[in-house]
This record gives sequence, structure tokens and C-alpha cells, in this order.
Amino acid sequence: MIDIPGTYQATFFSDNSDITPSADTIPIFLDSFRDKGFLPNTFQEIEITPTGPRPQVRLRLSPPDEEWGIEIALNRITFNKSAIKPKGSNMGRVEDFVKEVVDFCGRIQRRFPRKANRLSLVTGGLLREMPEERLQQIYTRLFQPVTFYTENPPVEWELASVARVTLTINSKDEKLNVNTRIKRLQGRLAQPSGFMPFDRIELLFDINTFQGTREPRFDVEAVSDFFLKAAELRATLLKQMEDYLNA
Amino acid sequence: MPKTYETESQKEEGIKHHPKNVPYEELISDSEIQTTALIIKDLETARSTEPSIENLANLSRLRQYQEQLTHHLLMLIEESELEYGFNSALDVFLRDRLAENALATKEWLNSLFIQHIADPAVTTGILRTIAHLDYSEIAPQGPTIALAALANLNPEVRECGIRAFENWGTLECLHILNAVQCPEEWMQDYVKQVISDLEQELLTCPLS
Repeated sequence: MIDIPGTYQATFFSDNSDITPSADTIPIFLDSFRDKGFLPNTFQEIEITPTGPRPQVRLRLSPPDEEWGIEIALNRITFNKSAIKPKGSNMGRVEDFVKEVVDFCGRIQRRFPRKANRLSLVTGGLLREMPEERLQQIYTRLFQPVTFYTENPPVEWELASVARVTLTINSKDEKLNVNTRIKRLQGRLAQPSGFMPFDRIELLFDINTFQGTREPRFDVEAVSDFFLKAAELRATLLKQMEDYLNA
Repeated sequence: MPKTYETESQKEEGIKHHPKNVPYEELISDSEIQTTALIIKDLETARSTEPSIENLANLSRLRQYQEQLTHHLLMLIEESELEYGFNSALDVFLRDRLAENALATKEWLNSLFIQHIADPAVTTGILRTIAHLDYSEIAPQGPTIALAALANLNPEVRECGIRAFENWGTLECLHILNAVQCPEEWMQDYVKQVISDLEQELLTCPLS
């Protein structure tokens, strides 16, 4: 259903104040990710403090082609896979992405022991091109617009839904937010020859553990269980969206 | 999340960014401007676990350097002869950028180093360049680059990494050099000599 994947992102929320771009940590990461060719670099994080925003330099790891990026922020470790080939053809399946993330989390957890207090999986991409009539049909199927928008069909729209469900993660009940966003948007597609304008529907899923439960509890096994189950849930949602939109 | 949106200021300046590693980018719309402009908030809510807007906005200057000045910088690295006591065109250019936006400039150098990791001419050029700057000016990205250089397979790149730590000559550099293991005997001897010199300089109390 997804024609062009745009976002594969997994996040491991934890206190990472001990991991900075320093002589003590960098050699450990170089060693842990040597087989992947990941190299240390930095990024800016703005910490929001009661006295105002405070910029900080944080550690990031990435290979020369930037297909992967691991950003170790103060309160989260973000794993991104990026499109480095036209139409995101290098992105692969979400199921394979989460397996790699589980592997990467384990490498970090082994050298810097910590449990996550929250986990999330965000995936998104563009649906295939559709004629204007079909784009409008989908809008009227998803919304019950007021008269104005019935008479003047919108060219941009967005619908976000969040459900809270309970899943068993590593033998413990865990509340999850299951967020689906569907939107019509216009933009530019990166092509080898330059940019091509598009007008398509974007579908995005953000599956994350409940923000109100913050005790560190996700060890290596729990991280693996969460990401595999989140990927399964995402596949179910994607299929249901496909059936709904094609009905 | 790794998606490129134009900010309001970029729209005003008419800057169109070539998105890096994204297959597509959304054109700016009024609703996006309202969402992204000047709102300080933590997006880690039930609805979203995306990093904050401020962190994404920080990338804009970095992208500007990457897209508009990389060619010029690489040319300067290739052409400039770095010599202590003299300000080369490269020194002047980099100090201007550092004064303009130190964080973005250092991240730019770091990303260039990684992108050209297979090209020793560029990587050694970057290492010589950053070694020429004061430690306080280039840290922590400078030492990060030099540490990555120490793990490189190319001995020339590793040697430039060691020279960078030697030139900076701080206690942290000494600590790093103490842990360096080189497969080449001549390079290990060189590291030992640098360590000895730095210890002499940093750890010996001057006679009063």
C-alpha cells in the first residue's frame, strides 16, 4: 500500500546524560558498531529548562552514506533509517527495520546498561498517485464536512486518531498509544534528475508506550518484544486502512 | 523525525533546501507555518513521540552550509597551506563561519569528514584544518573527528588524528593518546614520544 516510504524511526527513551561526545564514550561506540561502519558525529539538542532553552551538543552515529542515524539525546535514543535511493527503495520492510533496531539497542544496552522508560515506533510514507476525483472520494469517506467544504473540497486535510490499547510486553501489561495520521499533501519528490511535484496521501503510524508510565522497565528482551509487536500492530492497521480506503 | 520542511524564515528568504536522505518533502502550507513557528513545546505527548521542532529547526543553518559552501570549503582545504602564525584563506573562512554559527560549522566539518571517509585527501585535509584551530574553538566535534580518525584503516589518516591531539595538547588529548594502540611500530613510537612531550608540558610543575 505504501508506495514511497518516508519515515522509519524507533525511539528508546532513557536518561542518557552519561553519554556525551567524549573520549570515554566514543571509542566504545566505535567498537560496538565497527561492523556497521558507523562513525561518531554530533547534533544539537535544545533542552527545554525552566529558565529557557539550553543548546547541547550530543553524540550521533552514522555511516558515510547516512542510511542510518543513531542520535543519543538527553532523554531518548533515536534510530532513523533514511531514504538514500530514489523512491526510498533502500528502506526495506518495517519488520526488518525493527529487527536491526533491536540489535542496535542491545549493543548499546550491553555497553551502557540501562532500561528504557518509554518506546516508540514511527513509520510513514506516501500512497501511490491517485486522480483528483479519488483523492476527494477519500476525503468524503473519512470526514463529514460542513457545507462549505462539501461545496469547496479541500486540497489539504489531515485526520489523526489515537487509541489507547493494552498489550502484553515481556509478560507485563503495557498501555500503548496507537496513533494513525492520514493527510493529503503537496510536495516535491526527490528524483535523480531533480524534483517532481506531487499531490498524494501520506499515512503515518506512531505506536508508543503510554507517556504517563515512566519507570525504567524495558530491558533487552522487553525492547525486542515491544518492537516486534508494534511492527505487527502496524501491519494490521495498514491492512485495515488499505481495505477501508479501497472499499 | 527525518523529514524536511521549510521554515517560515526560509520561505521569506526564498531558500529551497534539497532534502537530504528523504525521498520527498512537503511544500510549506499556512497550517505548517502555524505549527512550526516559534512554538516551544515538548512533542512527546500521547499523539506523537517526534523530537521537538526546535531541534529540527537547528538543522537549517547546517543544511545551508552543506549545500552552499561545501564546494568552496573543499577547494580551500585542497589549496591552503596551513602554517602557524599565519592566517590562511582557510583560517579566515572557517573563523568567519565559526563566528556566524559555531555549532553548525563544527557539525558541518564532522559530517564532511564522515561523507569523505574513503577519501584520505579530504579526511587528512579536514584533520589538518581542525588541528590548526584552538581546542576550545573546535571541541567537542574536533576531538570526535580525530577519535574517528584513530579507528581508520589508513595509517595516514590515523597519523593525522594523532597529530591533531598533539597540536591541541590538552589533558584530555593526553588521556586519549594514552589509550591509542597502533599496529605500526613507527607510529606507536611516535605516539609514545607525543605522550612523553605532553606529560612533560602538562604534568610537570615548573620550578619556581
